[in-house]
Amino acid sequence: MKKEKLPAELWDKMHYLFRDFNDRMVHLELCYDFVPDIDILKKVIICFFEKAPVFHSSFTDNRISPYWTVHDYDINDILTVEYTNEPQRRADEFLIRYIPPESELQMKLALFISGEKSILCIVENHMCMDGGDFKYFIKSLCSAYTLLAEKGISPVNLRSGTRSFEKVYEDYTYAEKRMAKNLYKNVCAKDSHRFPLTPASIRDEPFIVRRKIDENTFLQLKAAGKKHGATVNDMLLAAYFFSLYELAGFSENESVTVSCAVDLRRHIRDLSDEGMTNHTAFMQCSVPRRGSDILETLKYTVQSSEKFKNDRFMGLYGLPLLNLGYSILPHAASEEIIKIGYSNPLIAMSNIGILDCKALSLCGHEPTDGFMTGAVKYKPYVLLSATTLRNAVTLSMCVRGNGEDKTITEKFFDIMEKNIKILASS
Amino acid sequence: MNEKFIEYTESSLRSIPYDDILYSFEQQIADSAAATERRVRKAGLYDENIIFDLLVSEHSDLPEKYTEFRRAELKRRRERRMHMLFIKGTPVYYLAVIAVYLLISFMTHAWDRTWLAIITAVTVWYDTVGGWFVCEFAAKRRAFHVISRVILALGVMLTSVCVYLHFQMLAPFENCWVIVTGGVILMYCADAVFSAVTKQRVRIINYLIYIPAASPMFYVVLCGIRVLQWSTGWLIIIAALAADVLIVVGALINRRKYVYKPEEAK
Repeated sequence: MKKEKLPAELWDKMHYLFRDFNDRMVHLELCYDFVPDIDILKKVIICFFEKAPVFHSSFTDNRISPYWTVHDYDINDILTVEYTNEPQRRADEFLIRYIPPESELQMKLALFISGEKSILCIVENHMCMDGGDFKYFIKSLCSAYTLLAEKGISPVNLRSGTRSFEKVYEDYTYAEKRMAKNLYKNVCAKDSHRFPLTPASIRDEPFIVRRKIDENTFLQLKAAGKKHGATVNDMLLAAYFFSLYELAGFSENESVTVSCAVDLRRHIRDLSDEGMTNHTAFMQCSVPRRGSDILETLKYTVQSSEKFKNDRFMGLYGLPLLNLGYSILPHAASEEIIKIGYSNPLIAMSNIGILDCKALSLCGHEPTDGFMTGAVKYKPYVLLSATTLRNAVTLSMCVRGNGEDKTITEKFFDIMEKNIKILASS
Repeated sequence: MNEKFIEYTESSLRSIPYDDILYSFEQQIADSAAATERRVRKAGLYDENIIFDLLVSEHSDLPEKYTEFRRAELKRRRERRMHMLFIKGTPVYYLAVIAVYLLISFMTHAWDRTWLAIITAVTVWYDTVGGWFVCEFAAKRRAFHVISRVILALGVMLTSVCVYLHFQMLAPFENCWVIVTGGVILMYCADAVFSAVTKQRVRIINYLIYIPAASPMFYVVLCGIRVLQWSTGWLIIIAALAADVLIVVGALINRRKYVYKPEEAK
C-alpha cells in the first residue's frame, strides 16, 4: 500500500538545518499528585496522533524536495509507563533522549509512577511544532483526557490543517502583505560573545539544568517590573544580560546581544484551521553596555525590546529571504546557500510563558510542578528557556557538555537567581 | 469497516443525486476511513465510539468536500478525454493529411509546393496539442512550468519557420528570413508573457535579459524589412538597454511603495 506523504514546510527544513547546532528536541515535564488512567491516556494520544499525522511520520532529506512519510505505529512505542521509586531520576533520563527525524515517530511520552504521584514527560521533534503549539497540544491533551474520563466525550478536538509559514500573512491587507513579503533582511545574530562553556568534545553528554524561582520572588519581580515599565520578559532578560557579564567576564563597556524567540502567532487572528507547526522567529535584543547596576541594564533592555514591540511586522524579517532561498533551488543547494548566510545565535532566550495549571489539570488534578524547555544546544550555543507554572518560574538550559559545563551552568543559575532577587526587590 | 460511519457518509450525502462521481467520492472516503481505522486499531485503539467520532472529525463537511471533489473529477475527466482524443486522433489526423496531400499533389502536379501542407499540418497539430499541455503544466507545481516554457518556445519557433516557408515558397519578398528572426523575438515575448501570467518569482530578471537579447534581432528585422536604416537602427540596442534601466527604476519605485519603515509607522 502506498504510504501517505506530507510536504516539508519551510520551518521543518529550517529546523532540520539546525541539526549542526542543537538536537531539535522540545521537552516537557508535568508532575501530578495523581496517577492518570493509562488506557484513557493511550486513547487520547492515538486520536491526537491521527489528527496530526506529522507525529507519526519520518523525515526524508530528499535533495530536490524533502518530505514526511506517514507510518503506522503502536501506542506502546509512543507511551512508556514505568512504576519506579526514583521517578525524577527516570524523568530526567527520559527527557534528554533524542528522536532522529528519520524515525517513524516524532514524539515520545512517558509516565513515571511512584505511589500516588506521577510525572508525565514528553519529548518531541521541533521540526513538527514549536513551544507555542506544544503548549496548545498539551492543554488539549489534558482537556481531552478529562472530557473522556468524566463525560465519555471522544478526544478529537485538536486543531488540524495547514502547516505553512505563510499563514502569518493571511490576515494582512494587500499592501501590508506586500510590505511583509518585502522584508528581505538577514536578521541573523552577529554578536560573537559566548557563554563560557568548555570546548566541545565527543565525550560530551546532554543534560538539562533548571532553576526554580519561587512564587514570592516571581510576584515581587512582576510588581517591580510594573514599577519600572518592564514586562516579566524584560526583567528576566535584564537579569540574563547582567548575569552573562558577571559569569563570562565581558567588559562592562561591551555591547552584548541575546536572540529572543518571538511567537509569530501574534500575526494570526484565527488559528482554527492551523495544524501543529512552527511559527517562531528570533529578534536580536542588545544592550550597548552593562550599565552601572542591574537597573541600568534593565533600562537598556526595555529600550531594545520596545523597539521590537512597536514594530508591526515583529519577527517577520528574514522570512521572505528564507522562502526565496528554499523555493528557487533544489533543497540540497538551497541549504548550502542558506548556511552561508545564516549564523546561529550564540546566546538565546525563549520565554515560553505560562503553563496554565487549570488547563493542564487531569480530572481536576492540577500539576504540582513542571516545565517546558527547548532543544539541547551544542557548544558553544546556549538557550535559556523560561516557563511559569503556579506563579513560579522555571529557568532551564539544555546543553551537550561535560561535568564542568554543568557546574558552569549551575553557577550561572546561582548568579541569575541572585540578580532576579535584586531586580525583584528594586 | 465501521458500519456507523458508512451510514454517516450516506446520510450526509443523501440530498445529492447519485451518480458515478458520487460513488467514487464515497469510495474514496470509505478507503481513507478504512485506512485510518486499520491504523488506529493497529496502534491499540479499539473503542468503537471513539473510532467513529475520530473518522467523523476527519471527514466532516462531506457535501462541501464533495463539491470540490466533483469539480476536480470533472476536470480530470475532461483532461483524460483530451488525452484520448490526442492519442487516437493523431494517427487519424496524419492519415487524413497525407491523403489530402497526395490527392492535391496528384491532381495539381504541384509537388514542389504541396509539401507545405504537411508542414502546416504538423505546425497546427503541435500548436494545438502543445497549447493544451502548456496550460496543463502551467496549472501544476512550479517545477513543471519549465516543461510548459519549452513547449511554448518550440511552438513559437515551429510556427515562425512554417510562416517563413510559406512566404518563401508562395510569396517571397526580399530578406524573407527575417520571419525566423522575428520568431526568436516572439519566443522571448511568449516566455515573458508566460512568466507574467503564472506570476513567476523574480520574473523581472527574465525581462531584463530578454529585452537586450531580443534587441539585435529586432534591429535586424526592422532593417531587413526596410523600416529602419542599417546605419541608425542599432540605436534600438541602446534603447533596449535604456528600457532595462527604466524597468529597474520602475520596479524600485513600485517596491518603495511597499517598503516598511518602522520609524514612519510610529
